Amino acid sequence: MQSRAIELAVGLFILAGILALAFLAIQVSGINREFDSKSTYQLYAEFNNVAGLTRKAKVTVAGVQVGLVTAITINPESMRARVDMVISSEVKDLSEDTIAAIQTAGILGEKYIALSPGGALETLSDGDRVHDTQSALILEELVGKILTSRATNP
Amino acid sequence: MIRALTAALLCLAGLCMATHAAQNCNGDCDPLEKPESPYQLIVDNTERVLTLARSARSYFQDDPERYFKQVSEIVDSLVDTERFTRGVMATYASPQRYQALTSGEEKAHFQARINYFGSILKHDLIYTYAKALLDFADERIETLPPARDAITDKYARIEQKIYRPGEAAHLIQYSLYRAPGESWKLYNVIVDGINIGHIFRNQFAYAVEKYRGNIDQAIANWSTEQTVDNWQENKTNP
Repeated sequence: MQSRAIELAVGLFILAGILALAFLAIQVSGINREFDSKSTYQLYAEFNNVAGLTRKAKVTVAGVQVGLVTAITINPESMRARVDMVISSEVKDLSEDTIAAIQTAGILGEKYIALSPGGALETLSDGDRVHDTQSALILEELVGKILTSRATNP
Repeated sequence: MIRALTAALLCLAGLCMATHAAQNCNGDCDPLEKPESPYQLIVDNTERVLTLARSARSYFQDDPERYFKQVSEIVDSLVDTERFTRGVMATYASPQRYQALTSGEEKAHFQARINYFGSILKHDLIYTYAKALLDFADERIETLPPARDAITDKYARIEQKIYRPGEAAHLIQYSLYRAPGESWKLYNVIVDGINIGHIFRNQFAYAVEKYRGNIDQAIANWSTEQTVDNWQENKTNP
């Protein structure tokens, strides 16, 4: 009887561990936050390079999550990456000169989009494009530029 | 990076000259000759500006003020100073913040602050890059045909590649804006993927934090002591 109780306790302990891991994974991935289509609007932006950005990545303003990346496609004409986002309707009056920058969070290197509102008089509305962007910085490209610069100006 | 920025400014200057040409028509010119496309503006005038920068080398030592004045005129008429300034000040110049002000005096000060900071940014731009322009000599500039959606009614993105001997090509992206009924003006530049407006915006936000939310103090310490004196004068005569 006692042995059965121990087995049960161990089972519960392992189950709790699995649940904790699942909770942690959901928290880290950021998929816990859903944005209801009724209370959101859409924006999109084009980047030269989105390296590492994925669907469901966070969109933030001042570090606070306000939306999600819903799609990443390629513009066949410009060959730039188009990123579609949904933004919570609570965040209204984003100015037209808002800058969308791809940034990296945490030790896992998770990519997300940081919106930096400007001061323009006009505001973005549903379906608009964020014209100003800052693409992801690629370490290899930066190193390449430094090496080229050093070779030219030793 | 400075060289790339220099190249960018040269090209901006080219755009400016074209803007001048369009504004000076006064309806007498053939509309087809008006360089209204931002792409065409850059293509047509880049070479003219390169010529201007090269010719300035011969008189700069004797008459630097003449050269700075020329660069100043170019920057003045090309750059949408208010839009650029609002972009740098960001939320500290937003309409929402303006509407939250209650007295007319506060609102007047708000606008005077934007105007004054705009003059500081323009001053910095002119004196930082005007001398560097003189070194621009052996570059080859290629303006890339814009994608169909790169030019809309209000916004345009024009790309150039600048080739310097022995260096990787620099990619410059110009962000232009056209207010209804007005000509194209520049409000941001991206050099090799680095958004210059974004850097300025972050620097300004950092400066305001550094001065514990005192925007006037952040502006007063943005540049040189000379500009501080000007600010004091402007504050008394907004």
